[in-house]
Amino acid sequence: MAESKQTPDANTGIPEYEYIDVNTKPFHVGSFRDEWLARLRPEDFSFQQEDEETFEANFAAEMGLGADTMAELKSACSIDSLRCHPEDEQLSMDDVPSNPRLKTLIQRKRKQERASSHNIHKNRHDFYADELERLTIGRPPEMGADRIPKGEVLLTINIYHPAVYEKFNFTRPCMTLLMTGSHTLTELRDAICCISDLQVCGEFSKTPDVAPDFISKDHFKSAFFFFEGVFYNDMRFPECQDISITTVEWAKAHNFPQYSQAKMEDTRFVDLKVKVGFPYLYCHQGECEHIIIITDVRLFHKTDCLDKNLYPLLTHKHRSLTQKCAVCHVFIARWYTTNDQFAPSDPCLFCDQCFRILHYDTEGNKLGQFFAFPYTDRGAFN
Amino acid sequence: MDASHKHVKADCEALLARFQQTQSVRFEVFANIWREMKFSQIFRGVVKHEKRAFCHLVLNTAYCYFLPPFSFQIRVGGLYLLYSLYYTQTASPSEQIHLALKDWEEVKKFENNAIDAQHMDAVYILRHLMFCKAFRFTAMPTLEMSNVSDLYENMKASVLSQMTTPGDSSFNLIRKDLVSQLSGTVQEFYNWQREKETFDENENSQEDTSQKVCSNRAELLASIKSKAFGEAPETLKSRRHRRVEMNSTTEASAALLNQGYTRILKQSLRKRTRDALLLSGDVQMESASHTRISLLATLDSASKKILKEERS
Repeated sequence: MAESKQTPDANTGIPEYEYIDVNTKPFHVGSFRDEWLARLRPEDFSFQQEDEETFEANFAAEMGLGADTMAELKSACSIDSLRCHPEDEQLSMDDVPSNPRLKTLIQRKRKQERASSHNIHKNRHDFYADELERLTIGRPPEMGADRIPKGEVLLTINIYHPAVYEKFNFTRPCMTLLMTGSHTLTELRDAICCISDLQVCGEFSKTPDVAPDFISKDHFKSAFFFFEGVFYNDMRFPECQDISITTVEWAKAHNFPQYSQAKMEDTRFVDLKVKVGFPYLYCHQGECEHIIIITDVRLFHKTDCLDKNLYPLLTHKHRSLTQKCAVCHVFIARWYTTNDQFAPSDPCLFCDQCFRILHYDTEGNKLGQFFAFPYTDRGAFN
Repeated sequence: MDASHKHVKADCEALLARFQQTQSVRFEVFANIWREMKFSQIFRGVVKHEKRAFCHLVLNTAYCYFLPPFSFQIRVGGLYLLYSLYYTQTASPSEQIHLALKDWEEVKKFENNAIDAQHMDAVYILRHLMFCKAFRFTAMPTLEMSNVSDLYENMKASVLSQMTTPGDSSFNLIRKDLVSQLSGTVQEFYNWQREKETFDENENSQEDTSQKVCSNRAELLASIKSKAFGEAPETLKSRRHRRVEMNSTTEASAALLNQGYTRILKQSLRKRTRDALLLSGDVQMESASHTRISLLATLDSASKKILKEERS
């Protein structure tokens, strides 16, 4: 695309490429927004659609064109002249036309023929690909306080799986969120769904009913974001600790550039200085790390979802395969047993009902020897 | 999607090249070429869930022609292309054109040039696009999730080295140790091998160490095989198709075997076979072990050919 300018931009509001098509240099989101708003007229970024006649009249006046010239111009530039087929012919846009001349069409046709010969089944990713989009795109704009104010900034954030899932290290984001500039980082944190938050630590074979009270999310509330050398810690709750302090001190002792800290709940996106397209870090539960990439920062448009209550908005979610119970193969597994004399394999997964039927008698007493751990399936958020 | 990107680019360039040849900047001329190429068909045949992504791709591809360093005529062509693609796209609601902040000045300059040159259709079309809110005012138009892997590698490395506490920095140390340990072990093994094979002074000494090793293994396997032939064979599935390979190599290995025999006294075939069997505890396990068979294959190119034929 366009080459990056050679001179370093003194103005931190204008994003420049650091590596072309990869990421930009850091820029301040708030300044970026101000730069755009300074350059545009209010009508350009409002959500109201201007009246066409007014537009034409203004244009004619500005260019000094007469009414006839204007009409001629309008018809010359009309999109009717772009129609490639006779007006009354109803064409299906789903078929590739026969005898295509465009290279894109040739390749597409070839791909279609290949796909139909392979009889590939539709996979669940394609099937639900636009499900989330359908919920939000094109919703009528709300009026009143629920509406996003014009000139607001929209960020698209990709959150990736933790690096322990080698399969998805480089490709798929786990989820894509849309956030507004006035959101705080805590709202982003709350919107990120990770199953390690739901995991329960501990062995519960003797007390299977108590397990749900111990979710990790409630126990380990500390988390931080790392953007451009600053650790943003979550300090909302009294149990939250500053888990980035060890890193900051280690860096001081080891000749690393200085890192600073800030509070997550006090920082809004417009205050951040970030690079677009560059990976950053979100760490929670002390050791569960997610890469975060901000892929786009732009002004709101009238076709975006304008309902403030719907943000942070999920636009893409990766759907994992779920592990089912080893007995019924119907329900998603919730228990993980080891050293189990009743189980066919070690370890083994069971759904709640099968687990209780197999391992406990009618009074709820434990039968036999086994260790049981509550299991949270990766597909829990599907 | 990446494959279609270069085709889309090729198609756009074909269209713009023809436009350039006309030496005109009128929209009617452009529209004629568009119609003649039936360019709006580019959107046909796109699968439903890929429509938006494709429209985005097409608009982004066309967008670059609207900016410098292209000539004014190409830029006008790019603008017309954007306009046409925006209105003929199939995504609903429409996908917008992403306009980067750093390109705004260029766009404004272009507009002023067009006004000065009285190219009213270009100005009208640009203003019309603004009026229809076809633009999204963004930071960078082309950043999606691409190229994460390299960045991720670097980031992870730097973050890891930053993230570890002093206690855990030993994680890095262990790695370094591992490498030196490995190289030390490999060196030892190599030396041990060399000692073991000093008796092979014929062409084996010219071969690689690995081949010496595999000739030994070939002997072992040949011995096992000869034993297996004597008994009722019960072959694994994995050995069934490899049998052909082994047959053809026994000649080669037998040749080596003979030469090996004439040189130095070794343990008797029976003893060696028994030791080998005892070691693994199972004939089939021994012979089906992955490394040995693949090493066998390197001995003889004929066997490789046969294997290829088997597989095809």
